Amino acid sequence: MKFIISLFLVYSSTLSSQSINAIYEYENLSKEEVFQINLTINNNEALSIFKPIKVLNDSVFVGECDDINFNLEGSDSIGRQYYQNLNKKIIIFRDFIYENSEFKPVIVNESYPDFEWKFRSEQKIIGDFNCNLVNLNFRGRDYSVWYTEDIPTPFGPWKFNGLPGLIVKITSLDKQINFQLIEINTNYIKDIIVPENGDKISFKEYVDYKNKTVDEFIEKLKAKLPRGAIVSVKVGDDKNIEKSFD
Amino acid sequence: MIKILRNLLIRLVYSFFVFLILPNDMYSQTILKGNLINELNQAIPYSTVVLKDTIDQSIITYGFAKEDGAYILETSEKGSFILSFSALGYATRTVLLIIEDTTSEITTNLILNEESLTLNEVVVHADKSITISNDTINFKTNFFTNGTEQSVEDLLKKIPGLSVDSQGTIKVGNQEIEKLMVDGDDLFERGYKVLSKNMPAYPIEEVEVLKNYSNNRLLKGIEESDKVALNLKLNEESKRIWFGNLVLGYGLVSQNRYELKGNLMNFGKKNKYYFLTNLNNTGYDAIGDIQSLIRPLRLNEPGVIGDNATVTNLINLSGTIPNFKRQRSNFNNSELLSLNAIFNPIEKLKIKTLAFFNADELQFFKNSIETIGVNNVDFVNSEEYQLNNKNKLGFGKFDITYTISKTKTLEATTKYTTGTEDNRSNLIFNGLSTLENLKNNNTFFDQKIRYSNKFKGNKVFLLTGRYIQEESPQQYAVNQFLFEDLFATSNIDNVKQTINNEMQYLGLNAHFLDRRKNENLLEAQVGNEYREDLLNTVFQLLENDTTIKLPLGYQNQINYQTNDLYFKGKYSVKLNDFSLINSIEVHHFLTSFKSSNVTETQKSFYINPSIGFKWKINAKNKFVGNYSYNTTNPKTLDVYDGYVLTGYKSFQKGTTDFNQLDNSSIVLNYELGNWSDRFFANAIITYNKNFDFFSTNTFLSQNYTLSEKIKIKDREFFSGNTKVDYYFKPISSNLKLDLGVSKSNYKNSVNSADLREVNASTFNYGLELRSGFKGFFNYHLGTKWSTNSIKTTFTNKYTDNISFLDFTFIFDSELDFQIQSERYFFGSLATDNNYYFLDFNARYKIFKNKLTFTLTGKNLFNTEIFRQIAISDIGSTTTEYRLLPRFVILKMEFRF
Repeated sequence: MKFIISLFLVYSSTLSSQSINAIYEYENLSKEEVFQINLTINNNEALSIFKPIKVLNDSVFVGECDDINFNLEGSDSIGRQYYQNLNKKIIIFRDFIYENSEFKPVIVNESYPDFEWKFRSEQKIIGDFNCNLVNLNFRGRDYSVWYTEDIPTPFGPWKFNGLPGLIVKITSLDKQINFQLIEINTNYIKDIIVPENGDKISFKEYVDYKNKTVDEFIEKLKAKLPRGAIVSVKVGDDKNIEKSFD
Repeated sequence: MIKILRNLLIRLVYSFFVFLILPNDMYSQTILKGNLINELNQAIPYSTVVLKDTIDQSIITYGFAKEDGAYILETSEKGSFILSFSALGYATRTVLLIIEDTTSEITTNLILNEESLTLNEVVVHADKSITISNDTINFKTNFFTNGTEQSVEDLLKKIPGLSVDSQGTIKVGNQEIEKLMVDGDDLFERGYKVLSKNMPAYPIEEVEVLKNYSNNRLLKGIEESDKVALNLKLNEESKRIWFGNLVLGYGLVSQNRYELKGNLMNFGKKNKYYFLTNLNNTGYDAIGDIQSLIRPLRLNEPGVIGDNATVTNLINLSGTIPNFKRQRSNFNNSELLSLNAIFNPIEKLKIKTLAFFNADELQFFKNSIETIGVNNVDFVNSEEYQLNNKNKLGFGKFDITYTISKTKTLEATTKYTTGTEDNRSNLIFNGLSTLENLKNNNTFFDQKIRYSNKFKGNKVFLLTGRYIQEESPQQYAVNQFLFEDLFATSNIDNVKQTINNEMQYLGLNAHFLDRRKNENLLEAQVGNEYREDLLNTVFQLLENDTTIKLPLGYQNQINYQTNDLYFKGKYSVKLNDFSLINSIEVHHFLTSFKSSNVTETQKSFYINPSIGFKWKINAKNKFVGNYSYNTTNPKTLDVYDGYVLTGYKSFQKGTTDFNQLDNSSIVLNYELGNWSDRFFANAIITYNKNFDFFSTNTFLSQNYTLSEKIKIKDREFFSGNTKVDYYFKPISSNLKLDLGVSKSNYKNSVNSADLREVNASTFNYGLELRSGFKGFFNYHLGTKWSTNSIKTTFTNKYTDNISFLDFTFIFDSELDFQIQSERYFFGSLATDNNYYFLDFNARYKIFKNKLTFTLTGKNLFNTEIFRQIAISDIGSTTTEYRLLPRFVILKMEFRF
């Protein structure tokens, strides 16, 4: 009996191989949002938790009174979270949709998207890591992605996955979307909890809501301006990280 | 059971064929597979397996092992390769592989050796676009630009968190910036748009957003501040370049209208220069552009005293139309030149200089009919009035900031203003031609010194001293004698009023601020402010140039001194979503009043308490309130005891009673929802009670008015205002409702009769609808009714309406077009009670941010006369104003 217990212990300790905690800074400049992403990698699971960096998270519109703080992106104390499971090949995420003039949190199941990584020969050292370049076209945006084989894991921040190493830096072609690894820690053990607290909706429903949100907001805010104030907003200029869901 | 086994076998065999033969034949794929285990013979899950070219290390294919350690890769490439295995917590192993044409499968089983990867908080120092430290956010501009940015404004639009609206107002979040600095130097204060619109973007290396900004560097984080400022950092090679813009405008289909505006600037590391010029006759008031530089308004800022120490003129002849766009009636010819520079001779010393000169020629026209009917005094006066005003103004300011050490600063500001005004009016009063002439000279000298010292633990001590000297003599002459009833003198044919009005101010203030660890703020001030006013007025009755008489009771020789020794304390407490601000002021006044008749000295002591709160009930409900009790000392113009001629037929005097006035006021504000919500409502209520106040006793007659201040008790004022916003999604439009009511109640006296009560009230309601269409077209329409009524011995009431309809067309970033139309309706006018105005503006950018053409049309319906009616507690006045006729002006703006 003793033997069995010790064997079990050894087995389980190997199974839970090293976990990683990586911290990224994420910017969507056109949406004026800056987040810190806390990425935890544990075996076949990974979780990205988005924490707003407060000073920049207030979004921008013309106000009549001084005391208005308003956020185009919904938020609460839990915030946006993205969970990936390598075995099940699914992403479960928590985001906010805009419905009836209010943001509400939703939980969405999405099957692993098809990331068509295009490997380039460029290499450079970022921090202490040897990085390789890949290009990616994903949901309406082109990205340059630097990853490092020094940290072998298929996971990356947000929904990104499937590279032979950890992602260190991501820049979109229009420079509006940026991910930058700022800190990494391997002596880190934390359980991964699948995102919860929100209405479960299908991925298709989520996509429909996302496409509607920005338009509705811009129209409303333009209509609220005082006399003489003129704002021009380019039509169809989607600022979300995912511009299209074809 | 057997059947199941057989089925299974068939499937296995089938899949074996599919697996092996098919791919081999069709793509000649090679399968690389195997198992990865550790030294303890246990499977290593989720390892990364990469097939690389031996020469350039480029990735051919890669995959991940499953939970059981098994991996499978496929490739169609042939040759020699490296197969690399890596997993977290294990040392990476590589194996050399040769794949030949015939190779269909290579099995590589490996044992990986444990080698824990220890990265303890490894920080990646990347070249970051944004760095955030405390209240400063730094943006490196090369990360945000794409080369199309011309002006600073274009650049700032691309910085996250910043927005620039069509007027050029820069906001961080929802808040307008306090100032836009260049390398830490501020040339423009609130007039920063001149800089942001004209300065090219390329010299700017970094943009800094400074939150919770304090004008005094040592008060940072200690005083209550929600101000935000921007600082532009220049790159080395681009310093010392000249740039600016030039706007030239000329009237097309109208009498000659012109406009010339130029800005020229240069920023070096040590010295910065800025020149501005504006010449126009289109009604535009150019001084407004630099007003904030002349007299920066810094209310409630620590270390600011004496901002309200100025001389108020008794006679004022300038004309404006109440509640109407000034530009429509401002017949002007303005010339303004401003020179502005900053020098940093050594690191610790900063010198700022500002000088400007303004010359203006203004004209104003009105015809009015005044109907008086009160206390059995009934008469009608008619007046045709034309005013010509010529004025010149010179201003100089010299600022020195010396940084003694990290915690000590010494600042000194010297200001000097001199101005002359020559007003000539030509009027016909009841058919009698009359000429007025008013000469104004104003000189103003202001010296301020401030020492700031910061101590340990967020404590700051400020010592401020200020001296102000202002003189504003006025000479007023009227070539008619309308006052025969008043002065039993014959042979008088003209009158003169001479006023010598001088003020000296000396203030000293020590201010201590202590920001506690729990964020609560304690403030204490001790100060002494002394003010001396001299008012000498002479009223002469003349025959030609000979003075016949200086009437008794119409002369003043006043020396009025007040010394205010005070202590002020303030404590702010914050508890979660509730904050409380308590303050108390203790004043000891020493007042001395000397006139030719009276000499009086008075000591008084009083306490002004105030309590306020801010309560954020939840995200949608906010409640703010304030109560204060105030005792104030009367001003010179409240207490002079001889009549002064302040208009061609009106005299005024104060009261010799200079006791303090008491009042208390309450303000409550409630906010439901947020501005950006579909529904947003805001309600504000103000109530003010004057326990004593200065009212008037007026003697009315057809040819003159005598008005004397009297001190009486109890005046009340109440106002309430509600604004509601609701966005209608189906029509993409926002509806705004505005409802306001105000009531005031006071007493006054006419022709020495008993005090009578006057109830004045206004009631207004309006609505607006504005679209937020995504396309090129948008509309905005609105209307507002206001009802005014006055109830006293008689009742007077009227309702007016103002409506507008605007269209905006933004075709693309090069071309836009706006039309604005307005309708005024005056319910109390029997005829000609409708007025229409139409303006337009079209803009075409030929070279983005380099050359822009603008076509502006004003008053297209050519409405030359505008009539208004005003009611008062003694009657009503109908006035016709002359407006600038229709003009169209073509403007060219060029940037260099």
